[in-house]
Amino acid sequence: MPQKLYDINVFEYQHPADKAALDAVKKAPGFNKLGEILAEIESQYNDRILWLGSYIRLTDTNAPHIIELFNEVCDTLCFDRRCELYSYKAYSYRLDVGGIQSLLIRIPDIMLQRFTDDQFRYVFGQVVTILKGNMLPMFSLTKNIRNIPLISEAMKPMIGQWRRKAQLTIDRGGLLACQSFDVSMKYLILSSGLPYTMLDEVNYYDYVDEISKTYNSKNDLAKAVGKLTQTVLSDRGAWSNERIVELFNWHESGQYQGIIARHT
Amino acid sequence: MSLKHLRVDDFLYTGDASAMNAVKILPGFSKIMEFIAANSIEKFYRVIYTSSNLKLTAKNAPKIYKIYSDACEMFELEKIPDIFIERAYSYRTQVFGIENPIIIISTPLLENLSDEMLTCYLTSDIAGIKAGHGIMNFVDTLFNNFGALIPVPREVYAYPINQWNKQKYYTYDRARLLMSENFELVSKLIGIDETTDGILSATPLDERLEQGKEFLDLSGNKALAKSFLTMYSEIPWNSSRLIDLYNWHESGEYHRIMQNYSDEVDIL
Repeated sequence: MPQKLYDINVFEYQHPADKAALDAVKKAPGFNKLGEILAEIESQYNDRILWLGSYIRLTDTNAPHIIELFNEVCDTLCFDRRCELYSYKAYSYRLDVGGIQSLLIRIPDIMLQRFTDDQFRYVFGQVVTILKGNMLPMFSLTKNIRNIPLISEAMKPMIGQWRRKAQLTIDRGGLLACQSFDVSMKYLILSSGLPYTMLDEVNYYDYVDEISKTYNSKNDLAKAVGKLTQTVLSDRGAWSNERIVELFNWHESGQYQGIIARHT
Repeated sequence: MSLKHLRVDDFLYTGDASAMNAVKILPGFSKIMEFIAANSIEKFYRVIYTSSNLKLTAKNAPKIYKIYSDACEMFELEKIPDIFIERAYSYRTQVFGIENPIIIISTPLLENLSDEMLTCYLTSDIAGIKAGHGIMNFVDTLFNNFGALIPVPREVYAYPINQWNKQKYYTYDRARLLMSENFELVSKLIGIDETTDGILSATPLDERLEQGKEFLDLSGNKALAKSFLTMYSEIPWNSSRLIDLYNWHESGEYHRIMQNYSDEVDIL
C-alpha cells in the first residue's frame, strides 16, 4: 500500500525541462487565463455533454473499488477536489481529463477489464498531477491553439514543447502515487506499444539499455534536424522512449526516494 | 410469450419513420433506385461481403446460427437473410440491402454477449429489415462509395441520412423490448459497449435514469451546445435512448401492444 506524501507539491518533482518550457510560455501574459477559459468551455460545452449523454458514470454503487482507488491516490498526493469519473469504449491505456470548475475523468473500458490496482494507482497519479499542477488550461491551449488566429506562430512551438516536457512530470507523479517502480516502468513500456499480455515477462532494464543507445547517441546534423522538425516544430506528443529513460534516470538518481523520505 | 405476426407499426419509432420518409421524398430518390437496379449495385456489394467477411451458416457456426434463425422465425420472414461477421472493436450491426438484405455483425457481439443478449440484438436487426432499414443503409453506403457517379448531389442526402441513422436505434430498442419482454436486459444493451459488463450490471436503473435526466435537463447555453453536438453526431445519445424506452414502457403503450398480442393468442 502506498504511503501518504504529506504536503507534497508538484514543483518538487517537476521535470527541469518542464519548468524551463513553462517559464518560457509564461512570459507571454494572459496565456493561462486564456487556457482556463478554453478548458472550461471545452469541458462544460463539449466533454460533459458528450460523456453524460453517452458514457456510463462511475459511482460508489457500480464501481466502488475504482472510486476507492482514485480517492486513495488523491489522499496519497494530497489532492482534495472531487471528480466525476466515466467509463467509455476505447482501445487506449490513457485516461482523459478535463474541466476547471468541475473535473471530469474518462476511463477506457479496456483498462477497467485489465488493469491491476497498482496500474490504476499509476494512471490516477498521472491525472492527479495534472490537476494538482493546474496543467489543464495549458493542455487546452495546446489542443486548441491552431484554431486561435491571434496567437503568434512563435508561441505555438513553445506551448507544444511545454506539453511534451510536462508529460515527464506527469509520469513522475504516477510513480509517486503507486510507489512501484516496476509498475511504472511497465506502464510506460505498455504505452510505447508492448501488448498487455507480454507485460508480466518484461525486463525493463533490457528496454532501457536498448533505448539508451539511441537516446544518448551523438547528434549529427540529420538527427538534429529530425528532432527539431518532429518535436519543436510539430504537434507531436512526448517521445515514448524519452519518457521511459527519463523516469528510469529519475528513479536511479535517488531523487524519487528523497521525496518519499521527506514526505512520509 | 412468443410474438409471431409482430407488426412493424408496433416497434417502429415515429422519428425513424419520419426520417425514412424524409429521405424517400428527397429529389432524385427514384433516380438512385434506378441507378442501383441498372448497375446491379446490390450484387456488387454482395461480392464484397462474401469476399471480405465470414458468412455464418448452420454448418460452420451452428450455435450462433440457431440463435439467429430462431430470431428470424419470430418475425416469420419468408427467407432467412444471410448473416456475415466483420472484425471490429466496437459492438455494431448493420442491415443492408433491398431485394436480398443481409445482416453484418461485429466480432465482439459474438465474443462477449450472452445467448439471451445476442438473441435480443439479432432480433432488432431483423426488425430493421422488416422496417425497411436495408434500403437506408444501402443508400448511405452508396454515397460513400459511388458519390461522384450518382446523379444526385451527395449533400442533399447527407444530413437526412445522418438523422435517420440516429433514429433507427429507438426502433431497435422497442423491438428488443417487445421480443424479450425484459426491460433490464434491453436497457443493458444500451450502453453495453461503453463499459464492462460487471459495471453495467452493478449500475442500478435509477442511477442510469438519473444520469439520463441530468443530460436531458441541460439548459441555457449547454442546451444549445447539446443541440449542436446532436446535429452532427452520427449516433444517438445513450441517455436519450434509455429515457425514451423507459417512458415508452411506463406510458402504457408497451403494455397495450403486449396485451393485443396476448389477446390474439387467446383468440387463436
